[in-house]
Amino acid sequence: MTNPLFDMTGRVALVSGAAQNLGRNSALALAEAGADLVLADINGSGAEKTAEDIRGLGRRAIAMACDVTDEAQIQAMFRRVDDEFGRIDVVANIAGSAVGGHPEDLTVENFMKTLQGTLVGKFICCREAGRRMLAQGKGSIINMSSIGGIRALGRAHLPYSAAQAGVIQMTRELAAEWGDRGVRVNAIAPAQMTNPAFEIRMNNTPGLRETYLRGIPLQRLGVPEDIKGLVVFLASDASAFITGAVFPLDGGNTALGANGTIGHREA
Amino acid sequence: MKLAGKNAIVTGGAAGIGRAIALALAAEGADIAIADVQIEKAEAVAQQIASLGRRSIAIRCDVGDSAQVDQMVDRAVQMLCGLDVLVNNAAIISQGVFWQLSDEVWHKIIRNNLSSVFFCCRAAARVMIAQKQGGRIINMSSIHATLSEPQAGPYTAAKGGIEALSRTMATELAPYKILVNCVAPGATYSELTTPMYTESVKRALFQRVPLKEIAQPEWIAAGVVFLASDDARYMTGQVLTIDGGYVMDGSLPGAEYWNE
Repeated sequence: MTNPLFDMTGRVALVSGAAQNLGRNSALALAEAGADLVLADINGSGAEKTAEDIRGLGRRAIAMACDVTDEAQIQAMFRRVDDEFGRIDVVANIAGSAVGGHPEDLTVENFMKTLQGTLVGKFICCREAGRRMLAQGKGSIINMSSIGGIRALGRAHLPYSAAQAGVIQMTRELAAEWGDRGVRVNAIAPAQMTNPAFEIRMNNTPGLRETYLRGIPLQRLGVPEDIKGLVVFLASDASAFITGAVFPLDGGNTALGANGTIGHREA
Repeated sequence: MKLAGKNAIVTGGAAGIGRAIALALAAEGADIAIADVQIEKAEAVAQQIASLGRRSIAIRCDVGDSAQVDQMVDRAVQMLCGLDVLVNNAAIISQGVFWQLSDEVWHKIIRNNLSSVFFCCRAAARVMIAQKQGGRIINMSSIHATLSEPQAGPYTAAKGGIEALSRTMATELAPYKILVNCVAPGATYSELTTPMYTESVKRALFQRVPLKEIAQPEWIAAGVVFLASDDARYMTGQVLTIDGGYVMDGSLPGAEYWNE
């Protein structure tokens, strides 16, 4: 018997980046907990695939092609949520895009692109969600950040990490602003999650997997399914007294003070 | 970018010229819905477009079935929040001299190549008229709307029909600032045609094509981008021929016009 604190039945959740990996698994987890879903991704077909899987679970799901760095598209998406569901209980801002760059070579253009893709887009989603949730008197927003927002990683992560630190501090500010009106805002900071492209890179680079594992007490890399429990917890009433918090999803990396991976240099 | 913020549907966008059109529109900033029966290939193109940072969706659709077309357009409009550009590119081919063709082949080619264009234009025009923001419809014709093509009677009839229909639609849609034009490619490489361009076919072709090249699909797509953009704002009901000079060439075979 599942604890009713985690029950999402009747709630409406929007997940960005829902076509794959952390976004897709966040959406599936919320649907499995009973929520109806809005799936957004720049890859509309991928979002639709996740929507079909969620309909297979007996939940309502609509998919939208949305670039969550574009204000007009984000506003259009939320208007569609208003039309289709008339409420929004959870927004999980998973999607993000970044351009790497060593500081001595980093162009302002790439820095701005990363800020827009990682931080400003999430702000717009938070603002649109917040306006609706404040009117409802309740809501939970989950922002995807990274361990890079807490610790320096090196290896051309400057724009990415600066933007992720922005996501974390924005999360705290939003929590402070909206806490008295029932809207909670929390962040997740993953480290060393695998995805197909990363697996290929590790398989092609001798010793790379071992290098990563040195920084992870749980001695494995994260998989997209690892986000499921945390997302349901933060979305549901189980976390009713938690806001402005940052949750590592990192196998103990932050606890170890490994800052990603100690001694990891680019090949 | 010439098409930033525009939403486009490309039928038959999974491969060949249609794929090149989808990618070229996306490269100019448009968001793309690809309608195709080859859904896996369409999804691969959609994925490629998403990786360029543009929104995309692949929709399985038999454009010869008006109910599927209405659903496809509705879905694209829902997913992209609007429709600005429709490119009717999907088509099939048949082979055989006309007196040996069955009713079935005739009806199949007209259904897939001409009725499909009518269905897609009708569904898109209704959306564009309601949006009150104008729009662009670009129908892929062929030089064989004008030139005969032995063994391809139904195909040539469908292409000729597309050009005639486009002129009437252009006139009817002009008050709504919805522009309708055609692109008529000549010999172009694609998954479908490349195996047909053997060395002997190329030699025969180059006797008739002044520019003596077969087009890459991107060269055709460039014409579609032009017609979709503000640059073509004063053009409607026209056929843009991109054929290396094939159709206009009046020189006599074997005659010497150039004295070196």
